[in-house]
Amino acid sequence: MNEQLKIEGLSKSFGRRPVLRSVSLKLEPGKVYGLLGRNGEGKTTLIRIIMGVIPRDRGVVSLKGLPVTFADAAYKKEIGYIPEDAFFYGWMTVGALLDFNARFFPKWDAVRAADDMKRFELDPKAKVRTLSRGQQLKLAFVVALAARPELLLLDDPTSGLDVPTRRDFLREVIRELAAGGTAILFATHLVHELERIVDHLFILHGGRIVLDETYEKVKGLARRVVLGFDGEAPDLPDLANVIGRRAIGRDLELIIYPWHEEDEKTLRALNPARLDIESLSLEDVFVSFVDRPVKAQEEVAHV
Amino acid sequence: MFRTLLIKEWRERLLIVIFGLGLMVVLLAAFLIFADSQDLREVIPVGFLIIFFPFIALILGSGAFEAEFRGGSWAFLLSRPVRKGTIWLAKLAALLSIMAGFWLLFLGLMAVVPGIGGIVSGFKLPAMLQSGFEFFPLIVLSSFFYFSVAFALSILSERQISLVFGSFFIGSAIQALLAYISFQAAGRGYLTAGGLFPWLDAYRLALVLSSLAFLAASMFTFRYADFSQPKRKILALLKHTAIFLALAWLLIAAWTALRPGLPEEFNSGIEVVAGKAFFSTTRGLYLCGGAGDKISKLTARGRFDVGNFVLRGGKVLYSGYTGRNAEFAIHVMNIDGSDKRLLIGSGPNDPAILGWAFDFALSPRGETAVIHSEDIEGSLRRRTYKKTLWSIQTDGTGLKRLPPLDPALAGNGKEYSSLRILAWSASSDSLLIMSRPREGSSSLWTYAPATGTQACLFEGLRVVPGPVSPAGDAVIFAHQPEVKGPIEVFLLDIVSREKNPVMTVDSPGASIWSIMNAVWSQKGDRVAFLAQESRGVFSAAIYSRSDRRLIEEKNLSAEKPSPQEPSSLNPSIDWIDEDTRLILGVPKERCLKVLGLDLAVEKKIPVPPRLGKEYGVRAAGDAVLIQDFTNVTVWRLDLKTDNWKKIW
Repeated sequence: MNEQLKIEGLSKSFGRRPVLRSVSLKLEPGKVYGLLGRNGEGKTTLIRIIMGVIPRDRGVVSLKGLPVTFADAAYKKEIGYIPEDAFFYGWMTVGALLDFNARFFPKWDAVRAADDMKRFELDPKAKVRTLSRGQQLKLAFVVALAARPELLLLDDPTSGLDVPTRRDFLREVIRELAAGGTAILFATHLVHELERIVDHLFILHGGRIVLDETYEKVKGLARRVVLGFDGEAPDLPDLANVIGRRAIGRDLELIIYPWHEEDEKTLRALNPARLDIESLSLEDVFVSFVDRPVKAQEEVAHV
Repeated sequence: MFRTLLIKEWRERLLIVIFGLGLMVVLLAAFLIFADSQDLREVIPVGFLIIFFPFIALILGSGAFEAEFRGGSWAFLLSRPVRKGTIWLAKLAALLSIMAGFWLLFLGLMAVVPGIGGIVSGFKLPAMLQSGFEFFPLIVLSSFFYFSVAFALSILSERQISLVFGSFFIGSAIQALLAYISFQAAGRGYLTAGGLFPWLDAYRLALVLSSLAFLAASMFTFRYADFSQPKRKILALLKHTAIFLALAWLLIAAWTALRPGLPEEFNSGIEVVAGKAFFSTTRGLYLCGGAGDKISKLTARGRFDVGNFVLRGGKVLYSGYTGRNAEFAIHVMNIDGSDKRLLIGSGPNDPAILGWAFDFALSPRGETAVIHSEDIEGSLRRRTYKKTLWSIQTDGTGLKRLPPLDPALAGNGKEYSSLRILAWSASSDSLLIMSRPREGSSSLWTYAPATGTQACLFEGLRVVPGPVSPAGDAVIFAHQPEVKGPIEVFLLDIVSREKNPVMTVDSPGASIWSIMNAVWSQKGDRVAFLAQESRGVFSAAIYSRSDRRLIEEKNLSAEKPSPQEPSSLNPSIDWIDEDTRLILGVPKERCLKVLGLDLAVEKKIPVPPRLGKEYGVRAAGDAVLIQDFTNVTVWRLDLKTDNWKKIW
């Protein structure tokens, strides 16, 4: 029972369109989780459900082992939430917004907020509506961090940010937080955002978690295989772990996950004229997963 | 946290508050600038009330949630660790407090600025709706309702303009519907406790409960609905509104059905027939059995507001209002309360008699009733008055329209005229009718129902008829031929048309109304009456029909008559001991006096302390019934034992 957050069988439909189908996942303290999915796959919905902003249709959300309902509010004291779009009151000043927030969070750390304000170069007298997108994101971080959250939910926050902010600021802050024991769920459709900062990956596709694995394992166990044949290509043996397949001229490109050492033997047994095996970038893994029809993936979800 | 949210909501409405305050300043300035123009002075505050408060209610209510959706802050707000109910309540409290602030400010203006208060509280809707229609609180309720509708709807959209207009139309439609239903459900009659506007109470309650229903629907929708899905949000609000409105309207229906009516009150005087006294109240018709002190209700159980009743030939003909809508109807029954029968209703079942029909008479043997109905049609300025006489058998058959009335009797139908059936004379088989066909003319007529023959017996400037003799063949009346001139009292024989002078009062303090108080002896041979020369100065007199003159007259004034004495303390007189003595009620002296036929005081009976200040006497067999006008009670004095007893 070391989970910070546990979600079991969570489902949500918008009208007749199912957005989340029996989603289950666990977050442990001090780890950074990447939640990958294309736009409109339900990442925002999942996070909003966790935050109690919208109700779920089915499923259980537990925080530190205690299930929470849509009506509960107290559990949100432990959660920092940084949404995709700025959602603060534009008429408030930065200082007033911090004061406003401070009243809701018992563990509010005003010193930390003040430090972060300096660090992120935010003017407390500025009106929120005058801040740039990047500044608003920084403000969101100040607000979220001052509450000393045990769980931080980031909902695709980086679009519109300049590269240095994205690369340095984000990584720095996230790593620092995780080192302090905060569990972080970072939802994004931009795979490279997650490189080098995530410990664990979820891929959300077709309303389901199609990949739930540590980053290291994903990196280590995904392979691109190119088979070249001089003549007619033989029938491929039935490999359950082929998640992508493409013909390039006479060559056949396979994406295999998870890769087993014996797979090489199986492929060599086909006597290809050429056999190239190379590791895959995270982006390629993601694309392979989300380019496939939904049904074909169901058995690959957990390895 | 509630306080934090409250302050945030207040802060967000700063502009609206400034705008509202600005409008108030404009109102005040306009009111003071146009001080010379009476019309504008009246229009400004009333118009302000009608327009400003619903408008500000719509603006405030519709802004409750829409700004959060428009600015995208709803996800921020909902992800704070605060219960949705607290957020909702903070919004409601902040907005309502601003509304209340405007109200208080306006009340303050009404109190401080001379004129505004008077105009607003004295503001009258068109004549039909005047008295009892409290305009001011109704605007408060109406704007609260608009606010609630807008508050609930603001969950649905982020376009405030649409919300304001939508809420205005929905709110107005529902208010109109509620007014209509309240009117239908609570009725417009006299049986409910709402005075002239019984439906207004129901309407007010409906407004309050419907407002609460919208607010409750808003709360449930806000707490449980999915804001990311507009369709579900609309459905949730629709569902909750339907549930809570149904609940509210059920409560109103129950309240309307169960609310108590008016407290029972006396309607008119006591009629005595053969020693038995009858009186009517707002609940029914009662019989007091003369020598016994038992009171029995003759009309059926339940609500029945008896408007008028006549006793004749062993029958009682009575009119009244029944049912929630106070349907008017005329009934007949035997004098002991048996064989009750509905003769005429004004509902759709009985379309023959339209309009008002309060005035009627029974034939001497009680087999036929004649009913006088009035149709008042047209607008306030061009009204027509149509008077019709109908006859119907008391077994309920043979309803027919009697031959039309002469315009000299019934008026020309264009100006107001009045007509009253005084009696049905046995000997001439005709009705005695008192008529004021036009301003400045009064007359007494006979009308034969069988033939329609009409004859004028007397015509003069002002005529006030007294009681008709027990046989219905003579009437005593007062006539004042000139304004402020002497008052002549006559006895008119209906059959022979002979008119005999009884007395003339030529005193500047005398009023034609203070002459009569006449009572016929049981045999119908003498009339006793009181004549008041001025306040507190009165004499009793007895007129003998056979002698055709006054046989006694005596000044019975108090020792120190006071000109300021209210007319409610007027004395009253009646025959007792089989026409051998008279009983005189003298409220000024807190006693009853027994007079001999020589009008000398034989006995003075003090009244019990609990009897009210104003009272009148009516003899009934061996007893005297004392009607206490102050406390609306009836006492009975046993003449043999001098025992007093409150019987009703």
